[in-house]
Amino acid sequence: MDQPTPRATGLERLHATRRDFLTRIAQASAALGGSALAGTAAAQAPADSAGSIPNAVVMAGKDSVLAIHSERPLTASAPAEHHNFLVTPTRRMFVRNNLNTPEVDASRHVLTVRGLVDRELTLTLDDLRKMNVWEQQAMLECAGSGRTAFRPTPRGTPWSETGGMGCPKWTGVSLAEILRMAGVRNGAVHVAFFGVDRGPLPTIPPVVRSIPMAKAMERHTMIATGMNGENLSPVHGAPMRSLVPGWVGSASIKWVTAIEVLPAPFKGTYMDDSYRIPGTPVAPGEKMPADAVSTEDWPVKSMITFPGPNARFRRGQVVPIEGRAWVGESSIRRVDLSFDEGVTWQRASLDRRGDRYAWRRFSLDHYPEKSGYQTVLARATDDRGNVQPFVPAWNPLGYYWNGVHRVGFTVEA
Amino acid sequence: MPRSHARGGLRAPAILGSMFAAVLLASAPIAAQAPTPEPTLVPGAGMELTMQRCVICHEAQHITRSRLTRSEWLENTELMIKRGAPVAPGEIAPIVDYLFTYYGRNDDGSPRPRPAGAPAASAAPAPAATGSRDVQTLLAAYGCTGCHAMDSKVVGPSFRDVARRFGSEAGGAERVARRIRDGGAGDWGSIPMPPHPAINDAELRSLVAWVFAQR
Ligand code: HEC
Ligand code: HEC
Repeated sequence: MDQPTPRATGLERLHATRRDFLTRIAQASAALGGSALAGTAAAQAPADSAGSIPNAVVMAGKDSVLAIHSERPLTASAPAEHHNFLVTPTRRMFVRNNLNTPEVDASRHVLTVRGLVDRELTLTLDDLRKMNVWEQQAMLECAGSGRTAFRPTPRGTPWSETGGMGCPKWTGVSLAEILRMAGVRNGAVHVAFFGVDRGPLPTIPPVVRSIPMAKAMERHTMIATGMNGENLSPVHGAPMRSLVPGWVGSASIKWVTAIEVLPAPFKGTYMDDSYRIPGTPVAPGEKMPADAVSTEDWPVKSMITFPGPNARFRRGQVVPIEGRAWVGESSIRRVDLSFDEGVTWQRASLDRRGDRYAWRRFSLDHYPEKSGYQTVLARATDDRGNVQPFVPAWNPLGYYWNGVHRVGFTVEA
Repeated sequence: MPRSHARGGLRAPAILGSMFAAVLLASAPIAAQAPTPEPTLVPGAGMELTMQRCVICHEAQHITRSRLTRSEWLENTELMIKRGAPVAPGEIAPIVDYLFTYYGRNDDGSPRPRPAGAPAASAAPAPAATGSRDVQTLLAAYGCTGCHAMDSKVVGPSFRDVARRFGSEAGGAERVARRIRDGGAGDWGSIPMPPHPAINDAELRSLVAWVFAQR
């Protein structure tokens, strides 16, 4: 395998440009006798909003069934009934930005590997393509997916009950291969990913999240360069992103430009103020307790992808129930369906397991005994015996919604 | 259990629809590609300052969909400062007052009624309207430089780009003055420029003249 030689490429030039920009802002602020921004602006990350891609351009690459949950930062997703396919098409994949969608020049982009390593690396897209590139289908789901189903509804992006997730195919290189090339030193505990995306102000901290070493070395954790057989599109992290399958989406950093091996979890607002849940449950409405921990792998979850809400069937017609089930670090043992609000359950058939972190299809042909409005509930169980609850534990930031999914339909007499 | 498919299902077409409508209907030549302006906060004491400091990284809906107690708004504001919001120490109290008054809830969780027909007076620490202060002081006092730089786009356009675009246009000075005083979006993108009703005419004239001199 090629051993890429460290080189002073795009990143340094980029940094140089940013330094100039900062200096200018600092000088401007000073000249202005100190605005509210002076002092802080110069110290931190620069704003690069000039190279941002407008939302309208991003959404032109998406199907119209994606609802926009916020424009700034851009977040969008489609509900369960628009996920009735085996592999999530790029046009249906949810969008979750923290800052602007950056326009990154792939030919100048570099990925720096630094921190507790024997050799610092500077990798280009071409360098990655010379390594062991492979493909896997894997889940990616925003930690806040389903948030609006919590009562009371916590603050944050108002994700609808289903849809803040998808299961496309990802192409990339195992992070472990990159880390082995750099040589991880003793004392390494976490690996942080830095995104190049920036917000509209120079004071905004960049998006940085770190994951434990064990997950970083697990072979499915990758630096992805492609999705569904094509190069990553800008909104999904072009030209490269981290992919931490099965874990909350924020672990997977888009537009990744640096990987840092650390002796402790990264400290920063995306680690310390967001993506945290109480260590032990709190009453709905309470504040984040002192024992809060970082969100990691998703608990067991399922959704009904057919029928959609309020579908109509004829008496005597079969209702072919279909859905998807997934879990972060275990595997799906079974999915049960109920047609009487959870009094009795029937086992659905489950498709064979595919890739380690891919969702699984379940199905059941249902022959309604009566006409009129009725419902179907889906409940998945994982190999560790965890069962989807009706009402998941409330938490202040509204993460990990995995409540039993329920869909209503009508059988005409 | 309440289910919420409908809310998710309807919004995108509505938003895209209105975006296209805006594109089609826009008649002013420079507004030809104008996106739908974002909604703003409800008028009331402190609204302008809150728009200026808070509607930068995210739209006003992040605020309008929240109902928080006074102490929660204070915590939220402090977190936003940590995240990079350009709020000076003396501005925290008027912002939290505004947020709690218009987007508040009581400690027992019940919503607080909004004061009806509140005047759009500014609680911003606005400079006294003497008309004699120099432009640099005005820019700093009104926090314009939180969103504008000389040469590069920050939140709003660079002053140089504004000067190039409107500096030699007939009626350019009036329209730019109106934008600074009344705020609004659509000339440069969908992010709104906050209103600055406390700026007096003399200050406006000197700001516009200064901006136009940056060509
Ligand atoms: C420097 C950028 C920045 C500024 C300026 C800013 N915020 Fe925020 N705000 C954020 C970020 C980042 C989040 C997290 C949003 C997310 O998760 O997408 C957030 C989230 C929020 C949320 C709650 C989450 C939600 O989505 O419902 C509220 C409320 C909020 N901000 C209010 C304010 C207020 C009030 C101000 C002015 C004092 C302000 N913001 C200024 C960056 C900013
Ligand atoms: C919260 C951020 C923000 C602040 C604070 C702000 N602006 Fe703006 N400004 C904007 C945005 C965004 C636009 C673009 C609006 C549009 O697209 O029409 C803009 C537009 C402008 C324009 C162009 C006017 C036009 O007709 O297109 C001028 C001039 C301007 N601002 C001056 C100022 C001055 C002077 C101040 C201080 C008194 C100020 N701005 C404060 C965000 C801001």
